[in-house]
Amino acid sequence: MQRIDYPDFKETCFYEEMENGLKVYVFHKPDFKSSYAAFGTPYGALDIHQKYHGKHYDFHPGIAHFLEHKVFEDEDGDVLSKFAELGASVNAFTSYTETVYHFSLTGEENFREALEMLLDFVQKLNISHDSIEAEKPIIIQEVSMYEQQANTRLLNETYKSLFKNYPLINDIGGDVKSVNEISKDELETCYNINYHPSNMIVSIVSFMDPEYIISIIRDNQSKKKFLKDETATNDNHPEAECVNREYFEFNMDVSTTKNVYAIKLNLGKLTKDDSLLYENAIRSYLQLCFSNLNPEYQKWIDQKLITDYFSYEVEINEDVAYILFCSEDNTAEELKTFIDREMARFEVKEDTLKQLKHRYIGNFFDEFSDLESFNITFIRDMLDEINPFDAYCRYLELDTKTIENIVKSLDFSHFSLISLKSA
Amino acid sequence: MIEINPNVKVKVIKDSKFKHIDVSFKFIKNFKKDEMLTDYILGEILGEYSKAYQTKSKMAKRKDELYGLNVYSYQDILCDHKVFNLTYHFLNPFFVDTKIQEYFDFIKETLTRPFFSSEILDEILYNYDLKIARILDKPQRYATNQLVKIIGKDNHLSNKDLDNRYLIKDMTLDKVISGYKELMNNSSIYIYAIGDINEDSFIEYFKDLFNGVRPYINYQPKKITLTNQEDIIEDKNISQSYLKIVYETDYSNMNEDYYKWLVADAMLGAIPNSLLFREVREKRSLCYTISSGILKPEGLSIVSSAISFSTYKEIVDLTDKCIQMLIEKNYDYQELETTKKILINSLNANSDDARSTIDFIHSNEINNKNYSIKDITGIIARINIDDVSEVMQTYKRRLVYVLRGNENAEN
Repeated sequence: MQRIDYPDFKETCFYEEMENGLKVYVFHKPDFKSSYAAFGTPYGALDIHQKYHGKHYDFHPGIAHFLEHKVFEDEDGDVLSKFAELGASVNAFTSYTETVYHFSLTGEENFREALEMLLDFVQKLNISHDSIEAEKPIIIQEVSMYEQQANTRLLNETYKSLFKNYPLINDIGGDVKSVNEISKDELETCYNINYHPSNMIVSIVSFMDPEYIISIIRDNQSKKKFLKDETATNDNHPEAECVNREYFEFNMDVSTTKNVYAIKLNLGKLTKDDSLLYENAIRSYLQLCFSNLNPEYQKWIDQKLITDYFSYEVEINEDVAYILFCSEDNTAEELKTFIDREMARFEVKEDTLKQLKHRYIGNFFDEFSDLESFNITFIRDMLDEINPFDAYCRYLELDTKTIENIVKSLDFSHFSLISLKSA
Repeated sequence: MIEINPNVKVKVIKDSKFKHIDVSFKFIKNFKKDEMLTDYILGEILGEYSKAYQTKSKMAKRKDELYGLNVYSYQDILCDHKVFNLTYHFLNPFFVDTKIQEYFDFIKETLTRPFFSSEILDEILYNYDLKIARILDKPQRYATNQLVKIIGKDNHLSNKDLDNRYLIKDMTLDKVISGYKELMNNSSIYIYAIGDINEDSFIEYFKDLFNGVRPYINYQPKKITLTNQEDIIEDKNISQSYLKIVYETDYSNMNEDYYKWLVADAMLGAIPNSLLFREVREKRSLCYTISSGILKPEGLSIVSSAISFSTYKEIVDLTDKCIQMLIEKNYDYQELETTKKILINSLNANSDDARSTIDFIHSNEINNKNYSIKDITGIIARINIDDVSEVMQTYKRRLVYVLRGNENAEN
């Protein structure tokens, strides 16, 4: 077991890698009463085209999410009930890039049992054809619920406009057709490929003794046999440089028009480090340009060029890179004109970058206000192979020149405009 | 609590485990419907514009110098009263190069010297209009607000109607300034500070902030009596339907047996593995989510679910059936123990969260109680199946509301 101190944050983490490759992190919080445990795999909704032992697999959209629902099932009864009997609250989520199962519990009583239960139910899949069929209408209801939220639909249409093949074009839960077509065999194959402990992480925040916690996991894992295995890799269909749709418009029952200006960036295959650098630089630039850090910001509000709905998002990873701008109550073309014009004339200044970094420091520390949220954020970052404490330091090293150089190098010629109009 | 001035009380909770410090001001005042928008505007101004920081960029600069200090404001409607909450959330100076005095100065500046202008007012009103429209565009929020309007037609529950856009046209700067004076001078005020903070220096600094005499204002729970109504179906151009079922009970949060109600309703639908969850979702796959929640002062329980319209009557019948099961004690008694454990777990976790800690203390204060967490967990632990049955016998279904989606889209 290794001890890692983060003295600037008054935090201590204990780490051990199990024999089967499972990585375990425990943050010791002796002054608190609750424990939060999370068990995750870097397998999410994007991972529907995979290569494993030389074979290509195409899975149905929504399968990672469906699998998450079924992992909660156990031959002895419902896992949710079993955690409830221990007084623990358990939940799970699937994102585009990971699936995480987690519980919270106060006090020492039942902690060992709850942690073992988490490990056991995630590391075993017991499903029947009947239970799969019974789950389908539930998942379809869930998908329908998200689909009729305007912002979710707007984002989905944005992805469909940007990409032709990349799996972001599918909703995390899939759609009615794909959910109905998922079979027991497919779920089991998916599980076997993606739930090997060497790919997975356990993260715990607790007042309890870290050595004790890690020993529970060590004992639990030593009783199980996992064959050493190859890690599945993504085997996506190639994605073109250009966008799939340059303009898309649709209607929903909303009060005001909402627009997206989405830019597809073709940055080539970036390393993890470079992806992080680019994302930090671009995000910082946007925060400096399109917020109250920019003296022009109030003018834009007064001229109603933007409202409090205005937002932006950046995603840079090994496969894709894009920037999104969202606004309401104008047209998509007006949004694009505004963004292009302001970015063309904006300059990053040292003093405002320093101000932004102060804000970032405050926000980073804010993660510790909610330990459950901290634990989830931590495990998600680690599953993405980013240590948030290292990322924090790297962010603070950013300088104006790096930001300007990176943003100036971007090509905005591949873009989509998406408009959600009132029905 | 220490009373630093008539009806101005302070509580400082020194707890160095939190990396942040929260200073929360709770103003309790009489509720007036036409002041809803005024209070919203005050929430947007206090902490955002002051005489020293009159623009967004100046205020942002100061907050960033204080490492991203945040100010949160929200309102709670309690029957005929309102609690105006303003919380300052900032990093413990231990971690950075600031001093606690700077934060106190900022709080004093923004709370006592707000900056009002017609430009700021116009901007807030414009954004408010869009914001409410956005909220009500969400089918779930729309359904909830419609229900509030229906069951609040002849009682104070209508105070919770979040659509106050009709007040925009008559709003003036004078009304906002009057509202501010009213808030500062005619409310009962509770101040809470939690974090690595010294009680003496905090009280010393803030004791003169609210001089003068203020009234004692506290809310009184008011139960609501409803009559049975026919099912109400409202159509909307959405793809999924939303169901709300309203039950009137004999309980409220001032009732001695309040915790029996809390446990019984949790068993019905307020915990993850509730009876409704098992019967409606797990056994019959009729929905993705179903839950119940109580309106404490009004004595109502509301069951909510996103559904296919064609199944709503079946779900209503199942809900009544679940209530009957609890009355007849027709369930595994282990489920009651499980429910109690979950509630106790949740209560014990309160002290791990700064805001939950404040809310707990405040709840004791305004309900004139002096419970510790241990007291409440002890009460909950002693609740038995007869108690649950007794509570459920008072559940009377009064209304079913369905926001019906587009049938073709559902199919």
